Amino acid sequence: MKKVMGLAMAVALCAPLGWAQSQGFDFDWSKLAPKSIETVEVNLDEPMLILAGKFFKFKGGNSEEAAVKDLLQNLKGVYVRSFRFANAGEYSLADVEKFRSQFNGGGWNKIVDVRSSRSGGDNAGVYIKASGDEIQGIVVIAAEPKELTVVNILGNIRPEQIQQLGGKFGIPEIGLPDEAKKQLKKGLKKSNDED
Amino acid sequence: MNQEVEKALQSALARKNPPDGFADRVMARLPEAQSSSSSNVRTMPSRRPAWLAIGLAASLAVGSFAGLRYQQYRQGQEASRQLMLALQITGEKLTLAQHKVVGVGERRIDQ
Repeated sequence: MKKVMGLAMAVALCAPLGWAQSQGFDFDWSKLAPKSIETVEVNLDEPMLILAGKFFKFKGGNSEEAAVKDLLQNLKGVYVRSFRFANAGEYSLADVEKFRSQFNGGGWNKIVDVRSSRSGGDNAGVYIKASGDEIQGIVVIAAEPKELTVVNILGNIRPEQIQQLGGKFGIPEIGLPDEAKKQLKKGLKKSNDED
Repeated sequence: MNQEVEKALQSALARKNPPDGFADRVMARLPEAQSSSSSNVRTMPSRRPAWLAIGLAASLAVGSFAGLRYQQYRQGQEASRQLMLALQITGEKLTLAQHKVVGVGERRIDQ
């Protein structure tokens, strides 16, 4: 019994570390949780993604199944932290900026970067880490007045693949802006040149 | 010395037939003994408990396997649900980023 408890505690302790261990991002999420009215935390490592793939319900036929399987087979991890607050200003924009600064360099390419200095303005960022033609990870940051969301997807995935899933499984239709597509191509080219 | 010990052991442990009527006497006393103190009577175990034990063990094994499979099924379901949620959130936030970029672009064109 003690062994089971120990194992459960080890798993519980290791789960939140997955995010930090995966890419070494530095952010103290624990201080946001008590202030939020709704928290979403997703920690899916590679084995869990394989398991999840087996239980995915395909309603749209073979093309949909193929799109999801294609997406899943290259994923190494999916981590989400999302906090919804009752009032605006519950989190510090300076903290978000500090977090975003980790994606300046280090192989990260800024695909979308929206910053609003006015109060109540939205901030959003999409960052991609690439090595050669292969994408190693995507980070999406959305800092809205009453909501802060960070998505970290590890593995070879292109935003277009997520886009392809738009309209299925409850995922909204996504149309990547042309500018973002250009940035993505530029980022990959830059990464190739650096290699 | 050793031979003597061996002989003594052989004679002591040699198979001997029971005296005549031994089995009848035992059988005759059996109901009497059972009725007088049933707790003192030790009967030969029947084959039923062995099968019961085997059945119980098999049921436990099947139950454990089914339990593990069910646990795995629940984990898979939960992982699938989490993945769907993660993809939904990612889709929403990519859309938000897209709208922001388009909004900024439109504002610049207006200016």
